Amino acid sequence: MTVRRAAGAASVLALAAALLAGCAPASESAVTFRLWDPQAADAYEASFEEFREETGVPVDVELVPWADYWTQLRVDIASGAAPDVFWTNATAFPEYQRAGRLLPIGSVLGSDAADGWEPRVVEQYTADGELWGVPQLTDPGIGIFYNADALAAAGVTADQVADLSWDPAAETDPLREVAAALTRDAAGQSPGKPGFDPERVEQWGYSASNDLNAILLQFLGSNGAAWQDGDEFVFDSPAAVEALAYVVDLINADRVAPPASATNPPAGGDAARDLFLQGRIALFQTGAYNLANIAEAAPFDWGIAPLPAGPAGAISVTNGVVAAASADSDAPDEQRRVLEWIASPEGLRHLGADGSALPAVLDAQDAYFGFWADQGVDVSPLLDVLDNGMVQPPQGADYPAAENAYRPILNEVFAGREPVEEGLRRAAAAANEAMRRDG
Amino acid sequence: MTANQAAMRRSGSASRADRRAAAILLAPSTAGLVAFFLVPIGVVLWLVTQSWDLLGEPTWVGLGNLTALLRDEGFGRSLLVTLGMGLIAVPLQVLLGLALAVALARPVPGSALFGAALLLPWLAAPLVVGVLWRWILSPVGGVIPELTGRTVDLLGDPVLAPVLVSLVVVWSNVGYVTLFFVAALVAIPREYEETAMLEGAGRLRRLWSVELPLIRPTLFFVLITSCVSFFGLFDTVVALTGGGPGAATDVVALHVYRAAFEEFDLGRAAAMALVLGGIQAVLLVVQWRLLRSER
Repeated sequence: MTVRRAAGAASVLALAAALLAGCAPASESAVTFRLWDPQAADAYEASFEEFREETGVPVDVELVPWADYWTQLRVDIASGAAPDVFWTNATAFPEYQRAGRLLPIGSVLGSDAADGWEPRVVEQYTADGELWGVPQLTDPGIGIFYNADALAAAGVTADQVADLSWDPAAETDPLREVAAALTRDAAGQSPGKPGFDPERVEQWGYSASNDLNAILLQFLGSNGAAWQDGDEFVFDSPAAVEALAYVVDLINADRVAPPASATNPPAGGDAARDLFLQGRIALFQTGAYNLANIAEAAPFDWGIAPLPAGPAGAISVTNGVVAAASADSDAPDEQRRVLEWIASPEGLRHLGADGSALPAVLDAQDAYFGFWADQGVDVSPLLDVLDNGMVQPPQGADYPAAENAYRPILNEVFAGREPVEEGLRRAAAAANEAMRRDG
Repeated sequence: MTANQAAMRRSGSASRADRRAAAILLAPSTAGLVAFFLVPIGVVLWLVTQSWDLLGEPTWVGLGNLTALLRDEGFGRSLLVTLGMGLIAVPLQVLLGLALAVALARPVPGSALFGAALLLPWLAAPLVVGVLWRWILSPVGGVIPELTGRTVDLLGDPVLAPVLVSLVVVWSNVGYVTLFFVAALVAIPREYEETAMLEGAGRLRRLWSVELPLIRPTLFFVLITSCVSFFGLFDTVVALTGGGPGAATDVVALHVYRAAFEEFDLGRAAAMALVLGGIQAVLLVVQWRLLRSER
């Protein structure tokens, strides 16, 4: 009988190819630029066309889907076929940097270049006193995308949603009250009302879920806790336990969010976004990375409200994406000119122009704000929240090993089968051990 | 191929031209064997002795990756998970395949259509099968919740999830297994059954005393290849549960994949792959011995 492991087999073949190939031929003179986002790829194609007209240097834009991105990158680096310039995120870059695969940007573009870039991204990608990539995108903070039709039907106003706050020590709070009012079962009953049937919910009020970037980091930060302190996982501190127990209760006790099994990673993936777009979640907490999707697909009126405030305020995470420069490039001069181009407002102009991403080059950001203003969407709640201070984004070499260690335990905590405090303690210990083992 | 070689060796007088022809004819499959079988095995054996993340230089660690597995709870657990799910899926798949084959072996109107329908799930890519069943079983927006109007969380249950994944595997494989049994049953000379009927044997008696002994080689073959294939189970699990809830469906192949292509710990992954390959090899040797003793 056939042993069928299509995805695994593909990766194994790619690895075998890399091992056999030794050194793949470098394309003649074109600089290779790799990224994972198809929308941004179109913008870069347009940008590099202008670049080629100006300089005569052709750039090959290689689009590798997110699911294969890191595997393909490793395999290509191992076989000597690394792209000259490639996108990286904050959890991935430290390993490449420590292995000596990246060029320090200051040595290529000069140390003054950083003045024109989003300082938060510069800070995120600075290690050992050097910056390890040219900032390309900056995620604004997290906020609430609300279904205005659902609000109207439940008699909840947009002002109420804009003023949400939560307090784990209190008996109840505006977030729980509004989320309950927006939750209804098949008979139209809400949680706390007689006859409410949690097994027949048609619309949930809020997207509480095991989503690190959009939910967990915010609840931790807004309760004075953190996910990590440096590389160390600290999400089992008393303040963290209190914050995450609150989120778990929203799902399993208050019943104002979909069951964890529908939203737990990795199988759950984008489940909360899909439920929001289907009109089955009224308040969807997420970031600008879902803005274009929602603008395109939401069949109802919607708006953006600020992140609900916790006891320590409304504290969000923000993330950047940089273009890293391979230390193994065959064409260092052309590579430098490409880096200079994508470090400039002209080079990143196209990226913000269709509203899909906020450029990290400050002078290129107006195109993004202009696009959404023309669409009648006010994105300011996602940016203003960053003035409150920020919670540290996930980081550390071998983060994937840590993630594989904590994910199954955290999923059980959210499913309500593992006590919160005990589960978080075990998950943090497992994550720290995995990071130490491989780091 | 091996039969030809044996025949040639026995004759002892193959001409030079014959040998050249043999070499030319064998070359393509030998090249395939080397490129897709021997080289990968060699690479895995080499990787087992290395610590390598594909970024730095590989470093020699001797048997370190294998001894580390002894302390690796996650790997031990994933072996048990795979074994447990296999104990559900393999016997069920074989029994169900046999029952369907008995029903299909004597053609009745509509049996061709039924047989074709049985094979359809096997023709679909396992990933597609997984996605399809995830949609059916999904607690929110799935087919079952939509039909019943209730949130039914089947895949979120740590006891039910491995059972359901096993059943989906059975559903997807049973048509293929049935094919083997149908072929074996059809090949049994009609006289045996007629004789048994004259002796007054009922249907079950004939199956037990006449047909089963005659199709034993097929039974062994199907049983063992089902086991071997089950230890390689991967894509259906990825699409259905991603290994969850918790680690309830974290099968070995998925565990190996995560170590290699998410954590980039190639040495550890190779060590686990070696253990997995060893288990599969033992099963194949068992099958080979059983089949040989049959002859």
